[in-house]
Amino acid sequence: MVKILTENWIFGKSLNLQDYLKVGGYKALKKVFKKMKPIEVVAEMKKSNLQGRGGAGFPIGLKWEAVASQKARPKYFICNLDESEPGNFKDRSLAENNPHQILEGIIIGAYAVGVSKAFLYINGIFKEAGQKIEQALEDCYQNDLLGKGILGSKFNLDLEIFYGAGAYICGEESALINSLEGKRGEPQIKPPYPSECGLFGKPTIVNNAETLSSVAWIIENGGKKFAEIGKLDSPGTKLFSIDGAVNNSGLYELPMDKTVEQLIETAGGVKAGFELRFAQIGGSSGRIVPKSLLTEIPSYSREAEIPVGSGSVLVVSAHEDLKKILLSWINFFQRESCGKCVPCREGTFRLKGILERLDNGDFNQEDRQDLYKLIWTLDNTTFCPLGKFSVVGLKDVIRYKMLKELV
Amino acid sequence: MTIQKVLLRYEPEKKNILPAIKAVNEDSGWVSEEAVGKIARYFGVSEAHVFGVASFYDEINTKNLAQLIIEVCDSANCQTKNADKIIKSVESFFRIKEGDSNRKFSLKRMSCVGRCLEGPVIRLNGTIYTKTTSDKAIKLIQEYLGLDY
Ligand SMILES: Cc1cc2nc3c(=O)[nH]c(=O)nc-3n(C[C@H](O)[C@H](O)[C@H](O)COP(=O)(O)O)c2cc1C
Ligand code: SF4
Ligand code: FES
Repeated sequence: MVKILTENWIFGKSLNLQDYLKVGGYKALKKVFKKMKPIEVVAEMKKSNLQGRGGAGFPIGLKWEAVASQKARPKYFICNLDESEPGNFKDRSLAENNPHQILEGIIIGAYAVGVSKAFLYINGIFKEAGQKIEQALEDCYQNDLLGKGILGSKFNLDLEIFYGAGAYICGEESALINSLEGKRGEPQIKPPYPSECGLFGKPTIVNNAETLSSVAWIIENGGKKFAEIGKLDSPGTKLFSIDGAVNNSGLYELPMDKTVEQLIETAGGVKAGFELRFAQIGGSSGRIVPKSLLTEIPSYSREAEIPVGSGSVLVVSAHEDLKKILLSWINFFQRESCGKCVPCREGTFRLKGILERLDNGDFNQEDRQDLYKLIWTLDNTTFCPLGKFSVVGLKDVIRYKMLKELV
Repeated sequence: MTIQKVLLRYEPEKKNILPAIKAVNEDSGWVSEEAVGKIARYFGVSEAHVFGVASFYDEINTKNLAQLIIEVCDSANCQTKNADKIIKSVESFFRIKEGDSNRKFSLKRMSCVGRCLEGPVIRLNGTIYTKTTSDKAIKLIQEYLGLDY
């Protein structure tokens, strides 16, 4: 099976510059400088149909094209390594195991869209990943891979690391940009999108670290070859962090044509003595997959019943107290609500109260009515998607008639 | 280190505001009103701006907190690994309640730190401990507080 993201991982050892060069690292970058104009790089990315792995699945080629065509100067390029969706550690793992693969993606991207200043925004708690990235950065500067006239070309790029300070919402691109600008990390109204008006009001690319980790492979092997991996409308491989009631929980790279059932099988299947109740795909903001939907294929396809999102799979068994899971979700979103808009700030707080009463056995008739109103409000009226995220799981629990057995 | 000395490590540019606040927080354990004033003057922004930023992020303390901050991850993966049980055990052993804070310690829930495979995860004064059990959590906390506690 083709591997792109983890192909060169050495178990227990991070690839340093020497290791990375040995396995063909920075060959794509050399190819780009030697043979490709920036618009040819963008064209190759479009051909690949690589979709953003940060959750939303926006095609990288279209994003790069939008920024490449902007007249304003300077432009910026940001790698999003803020990863903080519960159950996810794919970006951190990429940074720890093969930091140069991410950096090569950033450098190629910056060249393609005409950027000379890039940032890597990393979650502040990722100490080891941060060290690996810092070392990789230093090695790049010392080996002519960053700085002035990279590899003898006329292309200059400065790359800076920026540490977040513990806020899930800062993974959202416009909040991330506020955070980088030294402001509170609150989301901004869209449009304008960062591709027009981003960091310091300039056209800005924000790409997820996993997305960028496929860039060098695409340049070397061609966009067409990438587009043929897995499902046609959602191609490529993806990292899946599979955990919960499975035999071999872990991080797996697979083409995106696997059913939920196959994903669970990859992790050794459901543990003996446990019965699957549902799987949740894409962290605490992800959809629930009951037994009847195990043959669905999570992907970035617009028709997908189950969006793959960030790609985590949590297998929840019938042993689990569902009320505790409901509380875990709402605790997370209530804590992480940035407080900018009332429906989310108040709504998550009220919903938490109701679910606590559900847990204590004090759930009453009024709570039942309020519950549906709050779900509607969070689903439809909040300023950014976090509000909507907070009720995705709960809505599914109701849809699949699991709430009834709790009250 | 004085606050001024910490600040001098940074150019007074907007993008350095958060890194500087974090550095002050790390150096003094929290960001006081006095520190907010100094940071604001250094970057040429209002105190409200600096306080607004400092109070936004989980990693930055705008209060002089308890000696030991105990955090237990209750995000979904850790929750399926009995995070709640650890909270209950710590509560009853040390006679505190989740959300409470006194001079000695505070106990609260925290969001996923990405170490889910090694859950349940707790954090003591910012240091992450994985694969915890109730017993292990209590022992670790005792070590922080001095064993006679
Ligand atoms: C609440 C929220 C949290 C997000 N967190 C992250 C994150 O941690 N990492 C990430 O790459 N994208 C995150 N995103 C998506 C980003 O806004 C953005 O779409 C992404 O970084 C773009 O990169 P991509 O196109 O390569 O996926 C989040 C979005 C929302 C609404
Ligand atoms: S929906 Fe929540 S996170 Fe988003 S802006 Fe409103 S309060 Fe902030
Ligand atoms: S859920 Fe606890 S560390 Fe991820």
